[in-house]
Amino acid sequence: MDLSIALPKGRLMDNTMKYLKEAGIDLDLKKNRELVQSVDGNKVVLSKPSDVPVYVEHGIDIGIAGSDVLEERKSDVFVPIELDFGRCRLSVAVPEEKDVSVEDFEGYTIATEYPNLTSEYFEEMNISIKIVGLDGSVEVAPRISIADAIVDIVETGRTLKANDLVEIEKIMDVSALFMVNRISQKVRFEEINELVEKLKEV
Amino acid sequence: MKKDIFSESERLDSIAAEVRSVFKRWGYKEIFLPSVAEHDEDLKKGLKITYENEFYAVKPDPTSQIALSFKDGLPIRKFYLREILDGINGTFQAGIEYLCDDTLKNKVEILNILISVLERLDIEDFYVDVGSLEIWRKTIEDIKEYEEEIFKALRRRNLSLIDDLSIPLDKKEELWNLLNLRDKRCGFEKIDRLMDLIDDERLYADLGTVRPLPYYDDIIFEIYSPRVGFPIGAGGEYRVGGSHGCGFALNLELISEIYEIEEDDDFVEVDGDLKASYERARELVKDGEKVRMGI
Repeated sequence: MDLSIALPKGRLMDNTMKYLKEAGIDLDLKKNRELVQSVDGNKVVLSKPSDVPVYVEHGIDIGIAGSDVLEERKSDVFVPIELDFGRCRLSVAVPEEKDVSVEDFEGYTIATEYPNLTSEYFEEMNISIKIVGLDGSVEVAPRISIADAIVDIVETGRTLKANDLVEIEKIMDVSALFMVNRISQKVRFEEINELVEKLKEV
Repeated sequence: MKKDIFSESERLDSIAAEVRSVFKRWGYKEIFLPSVAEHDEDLKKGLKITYENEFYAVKPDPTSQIALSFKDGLPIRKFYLREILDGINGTFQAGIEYLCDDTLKNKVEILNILISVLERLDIEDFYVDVGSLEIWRKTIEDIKEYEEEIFKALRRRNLSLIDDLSIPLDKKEELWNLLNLRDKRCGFEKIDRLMDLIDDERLYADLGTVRPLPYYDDIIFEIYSPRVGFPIGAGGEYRVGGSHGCGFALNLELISEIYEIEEDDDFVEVDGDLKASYERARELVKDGEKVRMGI
């Protein structure tokens, strides 16, 4: 199809490939570490999930990533459909021994990979917090006393449990999204609409 | 990495000169807006600051600044070239505003000027998508309780959000059809009339991909080129008090990405004796010539 496509490395990758294949884009990616690959005339960019919306906003035609990273990055892209995988939630969690609700968080330090969503959430509640921005393994922060709580993705809750944390509030539901660059949508209108239709049917 | 301000400015200077000349040829006068404006809820963008316990916006959106300064005396034809701040991020923009009582004429004029300025810049591969907020508002009149979700769906072109609404299937289909309506004609009189009056193949009726900015009243448009990943400009019609305005703004930095700078060889080279050469140059400039002094 001669498209440029940003794909998320990590937990969403397998389902992403499956969905695209069923929609008619079978990408036989090389198993080496090449991050930009040419596959059947398409240019595939393998990126951190949080960078996918940024690539799509800046000119990559299409991409797939979670709604969490799109909302965090505030990227200006089209999102024609939500995909039926990658379902989880962005939640607030605290050490098990703490008996608190988010209303009690005034002055708390919160570790997260989602500083924008976290500050927006607490600002809306008029609660003043301090954010420690981390890039992965956020669950560690309360255990080593650099944060009172965390805001992170929760899928099954097992990681939280393994780190003596308990989920106390959901901020948002998360699912995988199909993203389209605003200009690509206009310039390749029919082509992208057909692809969206096929993805809807998967 | 720091920007190369000198080389970028050379390009912006060339673009700004062309844009300014086109606006002036269409009879528009430049408006010089103060960089700092007192805070007002209707003032868009800008860097919000406090100074001596008062709130201000630095380099806010000029359209809202002009609208707030407007008293009376139509028609008004103004343009501006300046940096606009959104928080601490700035973009250089050129914009034009036409306020008059003839709501069809102001759109026709503004869209013609838009085409003419891009042609003057030798950017031929551009498109202008024209949408209408009023058509959307009318379509959802009977399901007004979902207006917020529907406009959210429109901003993101999100079919799933419409899918999830508890509305009849035929209404969903009507909304999907609107989102997918992009053609030379759309069956809605107000857009089709514009298409007829501005007979240019680069204009499209588009009800599903034009960003529905909140301060526009009805007709909105977005300007883009396949060579740039972002819209290079946007515009639309708005209300100021009881009057109607229409305008657009072009992002000069994005235009710079596709603009081919042309050497201006219309200069008289002046060289030689220091005193005599500058005296001659002064005479030439007085007569309206452009001079380039020897190194």
